[in-house]
Parts: sequence; structure tokens; C-alpha cells
Amino acid sequence: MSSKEQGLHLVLEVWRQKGPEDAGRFESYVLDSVSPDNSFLEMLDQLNEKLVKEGQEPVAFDHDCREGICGACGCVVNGQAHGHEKGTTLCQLHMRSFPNGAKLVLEPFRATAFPVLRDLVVDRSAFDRIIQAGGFVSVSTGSAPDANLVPVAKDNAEKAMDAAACIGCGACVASCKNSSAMLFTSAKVSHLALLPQGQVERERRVAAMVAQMDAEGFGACTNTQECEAACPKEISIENIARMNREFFKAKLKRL
Amino acid sequence: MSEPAPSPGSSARISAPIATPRAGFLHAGLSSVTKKYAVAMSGLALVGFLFAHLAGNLLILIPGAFDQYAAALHASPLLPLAEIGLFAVFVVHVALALVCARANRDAKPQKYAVAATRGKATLASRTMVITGCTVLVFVIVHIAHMKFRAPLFGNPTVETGSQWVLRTLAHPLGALFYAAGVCAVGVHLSHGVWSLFQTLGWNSKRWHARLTCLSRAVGALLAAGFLLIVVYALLRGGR
Repeated sequence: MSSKEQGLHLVLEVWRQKGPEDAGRFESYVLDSVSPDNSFLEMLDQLNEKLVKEGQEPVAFDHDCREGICGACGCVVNGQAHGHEKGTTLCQLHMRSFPNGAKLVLEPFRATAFPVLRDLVVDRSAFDRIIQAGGFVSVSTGSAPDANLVPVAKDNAEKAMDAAACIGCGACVASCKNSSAMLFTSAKVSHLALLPQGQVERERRVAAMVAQMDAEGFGACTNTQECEAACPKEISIENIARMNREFFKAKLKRL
Repeated sequence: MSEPAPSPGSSARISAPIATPRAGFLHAGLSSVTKKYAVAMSGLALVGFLFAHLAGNLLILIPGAFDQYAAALHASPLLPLAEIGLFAVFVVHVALALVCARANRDAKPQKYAVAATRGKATLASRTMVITGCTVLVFVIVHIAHMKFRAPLFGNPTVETGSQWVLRTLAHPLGALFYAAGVCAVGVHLSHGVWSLFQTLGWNSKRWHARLTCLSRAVGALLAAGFLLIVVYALLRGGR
């Protein structure tokens, strides 16, 4: 019988950490009969069912929508955030992407600003605080306006939409050698800076969000572009250039 | 103006609060983007200097021209001012880059068990600190040797600047040292030039490929230009 009919045989090296204060270590598990049609998270479910049956602690991992739009899931598979497939969240990564007998090393996202809570779960509330610092529109814009009542240039609408596709999963931070959050922050800054509704707070927003990003302990961008390649929503580093422009325009205006 | 006071948000953090790594005096209250901007601006000025430096140095290929140029340069009352300015730009570039590098290291205290990239990072982009420190050491030795005439590569008893340069570069250790130094500069700039445009915000999807090409071309051109002088000195046997 082929491996497709039998299912995949996998060797998993999983990071196990009881809590934030625990040092953590890798533990090995062997998993058989994994359907190639399973998602990565379903494979983890299968592992956890096995562990529970054996009386062991299941592996903690984040997940919510399981359809690639919420940004809750994510871990590092063989050194790559969300695994090796392009433009894919962990929940949309399927086991057919791996050969039979594959050895998979699973680690949590690593960053000072993303402390590990347990196993593969990290605390990404630093992102929430960056949003709280300025990633919103607080002026009254009334009820939903009629379509095209507020004119937005097609090019700006497209760019704003592309930036708004960021789901805040943290893969950019995880894949960056400096754990920089500049792709995330710049996507949020760009999204609002490109739209008429974001203009009132435009300067205050970028200054506050960059300051919060720094205070959280994220590193600075050295333009290696790994974030863009790892991003499940393929957010462009063009946004980082835009954020830098916005930041200095804001500083110059305030002088 | 002052930057808005950010809260580290320790109340909302479930686990132990992290230290604030930007608190050191070296950061001088500057944001990461401001520091990067200063590194990029000073880098741009240094690239400009390198082109001028190479143009002047290539005069060594024309007999007599280099010493004439050097004499004119040293006679200029503006030279000390230019030297102080260049030194200041260099210090800003190195100091802020190292401050950022330290903060970047603190931001990622634990590496992954499996090292992998998505193929976007290049050797040059991942080793900017290493090539930068190599260039720093090179520049210190280079200034001690060329400006203050430290007898490092043999001790040629020569009169003119061009003789000092050519005999140094014909010395095996001198040739190797200068070749390695300018190669480090080339590798550094092959990422650095593109990177400075991105940091200054002068980049977009449309310009990205052109700027990466420009960056590699600038790195290769400057390294090749300076290497040409080394090769010329070796072929001439230091005369």
C-alpha cells in the first residue's frame, strides 16, 4: 500500500514548556497514519488525542478560525514560521506538503516581545498594545456612507486593502532575525494613512505606534525581507518604506 | 518635540514583564526608526565619499597626477573641516548601527533549533554587522598606515605619496589587507545601498528590483575600482 492509503509516518520534535518560567525542552513523538489531507493543526489534534490516551499532557497550541483569516495559529516548523509553503497560515498548511517519514521540528515564535506561555503558545498582546497606541480611527465618520461618496483613488484603495490583509499573526516577528515588528506596524500605519478616514490622526498615529513598538522590545528592521516571504498574507515591505516616510513627515510637521 | 510616552503594558502582559531595552543612554531617547534613518543618511554620505575617494585614487594610474592631486588637497584650508565632518559622519554611522545591532540581538535571545530562511535574506544582508566591523578595523589600520604613515607593510623609504601607495600594495601582506578591506566594503554596500533607500522611505514595489540592482552594482563597482589599484601596483612591482 502506498503512504497515501496508509497515511504518513512522522517524527515530531516538539518544544514543551510548562509555563513562562520553565526552561523548556524538545520532546520526540512518533505519529502514524496521518492523512495527507489533514491540515497541520488536525495533525496536532491527532497527536494530542494520542497523548491524552497515553495519559500525557497534550501540546498547547493557538488556533481559532482554521480557515486562514484570524491570525491565531502559528508556530515555527523546521525553522520557518507557519511552515515552508508560501502565503499560508499553519491551519492552511496541509500534510501532503511533507514527505512520508518527515522529521518536523516544532518551536514557538521566538522574540523577547513574544514570551512563551506554554509549549507552542506565545503572548502576542504586544501587537494589541501597538494597535491600542494608534491603529484606529477615533473621529466620528457617521454611519456607513453610500458607495463612492468618499472618493478614494483606485491605487490607494488597492494598497490600503493589501495592507489591511494583515491578520497580526506575528510570523513577521518570528521570521525576522531581529524580531522586528516593522512589517506588522507598517501594514497598520499604511492601511489608515492611505484612506481619507485615517487622515485626522495620521501623524499622531505613526509616532505613537512606532514608540509603542520600540517599548515592547521588538528589534529594528535590517531589510533582509524574510518577513515578507514568511507572511501568510504576503504583506509587502513597501509598507515599511511608507511607514518610514510617514514617520519623518510627522516629525517634520511637529518641529 | 518629545515622543509620546509609551506604556510597556505590564498589567496586560500575562507573563513576567520584559525589560525595556531602549532605556540605555546610548539610545539617546531616539526611536528605532530615527536611529535607522541616521544610519541610512550617514551611509549615503559615506557612499558619496567613497566615489570621490576612488576617483582621486584612480589618478595613480596616470604618472604624476596622484601626487599633484594630493598636494592640491593638502593645500586646501577646507581639508581639516572636511576630515572632521567625515569623521563625525563615520562615528554616527558606526555608533548608531552598533546600538541598533545590540537592541536587535536582545530582541531575539533564542535562535531556532533549525536554521532556515525563505531565500530572501542574502549573505550580505545577514552579515551587515560583521562586514561593517571588518570595514571599521580596515579603516582604522588604513588611516594609521596611509595618513599617519605607520610602517605596517614593510618600511619603504620613499618620498612621494604615490610611491608609498604603490610599494605598500605591491607588498603581499599590504595587497591582501587592502584587497580584503575593499571586498568587505563591496559586500557591505551590495545590501547597504538598497537598504538605505528602503529605510529613508525612497522605495516602492516599482523601484524595488532597480534599487537592489543598483546596490549590487555600486558594491561591485567600488570594490572593483579599488582592486584595480591593487592589481596595478602588483603588476608594476611597486614602482
